[in-house]
Amino acid sequence: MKNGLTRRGFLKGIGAAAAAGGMSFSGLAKLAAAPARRYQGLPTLVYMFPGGVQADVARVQDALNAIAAERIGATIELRAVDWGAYDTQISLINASGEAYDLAFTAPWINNYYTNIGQEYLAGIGDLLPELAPNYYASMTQDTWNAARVGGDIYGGINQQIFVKPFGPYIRSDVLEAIGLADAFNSMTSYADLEPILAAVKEFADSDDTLTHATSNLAPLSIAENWGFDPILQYLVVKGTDESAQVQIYTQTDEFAQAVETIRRWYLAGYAPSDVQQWTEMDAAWQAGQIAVRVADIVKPGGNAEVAARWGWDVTSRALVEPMLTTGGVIATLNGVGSVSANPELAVRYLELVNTDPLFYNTLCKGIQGVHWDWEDEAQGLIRPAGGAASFADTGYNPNTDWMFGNVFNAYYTDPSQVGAWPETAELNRNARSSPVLGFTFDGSNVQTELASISAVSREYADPLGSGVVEDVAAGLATLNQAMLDAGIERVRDEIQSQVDAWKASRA
Amino acid sequence: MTTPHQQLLARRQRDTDLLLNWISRFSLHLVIIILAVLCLIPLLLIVSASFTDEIALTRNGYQLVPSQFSTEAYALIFRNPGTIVRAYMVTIFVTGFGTIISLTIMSLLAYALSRPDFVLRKPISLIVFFTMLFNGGIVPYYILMTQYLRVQDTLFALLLPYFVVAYYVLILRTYFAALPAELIEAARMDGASELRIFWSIALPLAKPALATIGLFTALSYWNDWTTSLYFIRDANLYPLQYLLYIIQSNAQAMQLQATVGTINMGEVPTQTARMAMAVLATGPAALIFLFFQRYLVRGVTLGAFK
Amino acid sequence: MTAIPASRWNRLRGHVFRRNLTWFLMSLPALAWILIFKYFTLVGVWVAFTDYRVRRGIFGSDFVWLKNFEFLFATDTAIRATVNTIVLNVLFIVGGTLGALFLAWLLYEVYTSRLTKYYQTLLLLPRFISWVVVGYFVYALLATDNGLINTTLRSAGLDPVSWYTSPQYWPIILLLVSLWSGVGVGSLIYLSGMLAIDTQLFEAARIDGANKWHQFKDIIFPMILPLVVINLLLSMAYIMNADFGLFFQVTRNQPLLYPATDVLDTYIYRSLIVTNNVSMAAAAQFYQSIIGFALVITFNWVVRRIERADEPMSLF
Repeated sequence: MKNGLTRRGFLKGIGAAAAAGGMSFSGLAKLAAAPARRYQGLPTLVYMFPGGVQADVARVQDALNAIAAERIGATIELRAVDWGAYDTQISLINASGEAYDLAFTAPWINNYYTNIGQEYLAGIGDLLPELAPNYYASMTQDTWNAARVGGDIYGGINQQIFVKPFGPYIRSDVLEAIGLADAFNSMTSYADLEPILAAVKEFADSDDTLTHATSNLAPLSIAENWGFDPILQYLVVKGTDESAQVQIYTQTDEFAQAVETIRRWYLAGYAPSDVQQWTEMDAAWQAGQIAVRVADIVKPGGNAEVAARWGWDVTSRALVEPMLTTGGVIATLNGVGSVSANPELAVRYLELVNTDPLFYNTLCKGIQGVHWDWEDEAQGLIRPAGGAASFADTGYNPNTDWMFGNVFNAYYTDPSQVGAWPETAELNRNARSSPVLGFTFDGSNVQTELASISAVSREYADPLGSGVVEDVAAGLATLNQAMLDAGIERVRDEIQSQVDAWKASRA
Repeated sequence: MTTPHQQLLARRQRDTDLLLNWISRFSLHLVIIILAVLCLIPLLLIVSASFTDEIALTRNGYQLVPSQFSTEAYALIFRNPGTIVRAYMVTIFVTGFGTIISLTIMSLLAYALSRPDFVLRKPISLIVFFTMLFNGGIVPYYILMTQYLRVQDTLFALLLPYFVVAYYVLILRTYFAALPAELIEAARMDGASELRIFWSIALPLAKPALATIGLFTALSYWNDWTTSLYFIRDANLYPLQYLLYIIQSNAQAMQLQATVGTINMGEVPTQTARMAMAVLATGPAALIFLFFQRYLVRGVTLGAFK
Repeated sequence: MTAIPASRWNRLRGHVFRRNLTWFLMSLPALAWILIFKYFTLVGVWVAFTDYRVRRGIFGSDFVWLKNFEFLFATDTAIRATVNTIVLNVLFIVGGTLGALFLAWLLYEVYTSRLTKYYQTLLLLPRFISWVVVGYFVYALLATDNGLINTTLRSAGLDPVSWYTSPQYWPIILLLVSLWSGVGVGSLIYLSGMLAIDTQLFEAARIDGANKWHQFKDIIFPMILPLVVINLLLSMAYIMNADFGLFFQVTRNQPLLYPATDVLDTYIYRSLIVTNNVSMAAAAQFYQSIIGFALVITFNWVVRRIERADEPMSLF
């Protein structure tokens, strides 16, 4: 009896699964056919980007198409691919020659340089001024040059924070408890952070919840903290060096100083003995076990973001002079697929999304009255529609404004954010340009070296960065010898000759 | 005739034997129980963690009894119950059908290869073995599936990849080769066709082996998430393990975004939610395998040969 | 065939062709699948020898000889990864086989018990737990500050060990973890082989007064030897491959452990994560495959030399 039931239940399950499979198959076909019926004859632009599929995406897509059909004579199909799958799927789509019109690309996901080297992205340098004039004019030539590789531009830059003014974040309640608020707010270098960390540690020793001052010391060794522009992770140019001498970062005094500091802090017990994984750091911050992020990007609205994300009010202080670098500028791009049938329309789309706030915010936040309502229209501040507790409950909340276009057009979702965009734009505008802003490196001649460097740097540099190496001097020597063996000098010389040629071409 | 004394001695001997036998059986069970508990504890820890309050879990670590009971993780997952129910159905369907089909075509091939007088035995074995090692990599495979077979975003994409696993074919072949030749020879004398011999003699005799390889195949289908990663974009067709993978990898993707200086992103899957997902992906599988275990047991009585 | 007398051989001969045809037809479904999925896609191997550019196609890209293989030998780190892979795999193969045999024998001895199916289910469960989650538990045991083992060591008055910076312990730790995860499933193959043994053989042995060890040595082991050999041969094929999840997640990818735990798969991952070079990835895969292939062919040849004619154990 029992077995019979189980088996029948099992068979029923299979039947239901088969039905579900069939249903969703036909459902999918219907969904794909829908836009074609409504805007017959108009070409459809397929836009691939990472993110979860939103429940109300079809509705938002319709709203977007109403605008797009009129303005650029095309409709758009949003194809969100889960974060964890995006890199894999887009690279397979690229490698197999499957067509799409637009895709999110960056040096850190769906690699921009690989896409260019493999000719996955279309050059749009000539189309931009002509078909996206306002968008093109919204950024300087130097900015656009950052996206330029081998003379052509392969992606539309999303305006957002381009500079990386690094500095520490500290939980406001802890800062108050240790009574060092003035000291924190007047810091000028990372050396000034040390007494504060010591005080936090002392406080943590007597506090039940707080276990360590911080969970991760490694960010202190990031090259940007010390005024470098990293062309590659370990090949840098000093921001003040107009001659643009390429240096091996691990051989610089700054790196040595950083890792010595990290070791000292590690021994002082400011961080856990074992190197923490990212998810653990996240959880520890959320649970109130740590109070300091030693080096993170300090930006307008950043404190509010951290507070919203981890539930603790924070205070931050930028310690690094903002610098405009190639890497910072092209951190978020939207490229046009090289097998796209409508590259011109795709560029017109870039104009639309980057210059039309209504279109852009519909893509980012959904439809007014359905997903959001004005809280304060004059300030550009919105709230979730229909009394929903958060935007996550409205049915449409990709929450990735920076991925879709110019974030300076985005509506604010929290009162504490108001005014952050003009401030950020100001920060970008006033930042000093790196001597190699606009230079991009072509690594196709040194692939073996790059692979070897990648392997040895993770082995020898990462432990130095986390403070677990007992003898820092010996560790540094080992690291640098391994880097030499891996061929880092050949890479440096290759970059230097490309930088020199690039400089000559600009003069 | 034996003397009473001898009888007594024999009975004592028998009692001692029984006692020894009992002790040895008991110690065998004890060793297995220890091993089984070692396998069980981490699972209990997962279950316990999934019922722990998120912050309490970070503060107190994994404990066998939740330090602060909470069902929030499950509430989070079941906010969209449709997703997880559909994922179950997809996984069960794919595992069930996939295992049946794959076991069928693999045992057909394995049986043929196990026949010593099959002239193509060695070349085909080599052809099969070769595929264990060499493959063209992911790109040609992707092109084959999406441009020639056009199975992306269908259940076929999830079924096809494990139909033939060289390793299992070669193991099955070894089982079939161990079948007593006399039995098969006798059937041939009776005029049975090769297919009939395969169906009514070889297959029943190899039941423990089929159950074992079937279990392996089912495990591959059940645990497979890479196929979905390549070929499934329709969220309605996500199997369970892929859902788990997505939840986990979304957290990693946030790390990437940190490099852009942006930490704004939708809901973050918590530690406990990941544990709850692991429980949901594993628990029912364990029950299903417990149910199928009887085929392994049944095999014992039929499988006695040679 | 040798045992069949000539008279019967003649009678059989008429059926030989038909029988072979049936066997061939039985092979067809699987062969068709293999042809489509494994052999049609094999052109991809060529990528390993070219500077692959998608738009130019596999055969349109420049042929670069063995350049893509250089990074696998260029540094001491690469060589160490190869050595580690082989040493650890030999350890895992030997440990895994002994563990699986032992467990299979234990289960076989208690097989008539009603508890067995629960044992088996429990022993299979670790296979369902992803390496990420296993990594959490190993960390819960080994964490330096508050891991279970160090806490115990401290309360026993001993010095705690910084596990994640001490590579010397890791071959054993990884072996234990891999046994925990795989031995339950691995034992099934041998158990089903044992279950096929005629129990009358044991009756005879018991009358002869053979103890459990003798029964195993003289009856069980010889009966399942072909399975053991075939399994060992097949494991040889993967001697250059390592379970990425085990070596990446369970070690928490701690660089100070690399001297003992960096294997080819993690080295390749670390090398190519920046450049994402398709040709070099293909080269790495080819390198792993060709070594495995050579090993299997060699050992298969050895097995063929020593196997008995009536009990073939080789692959081909």
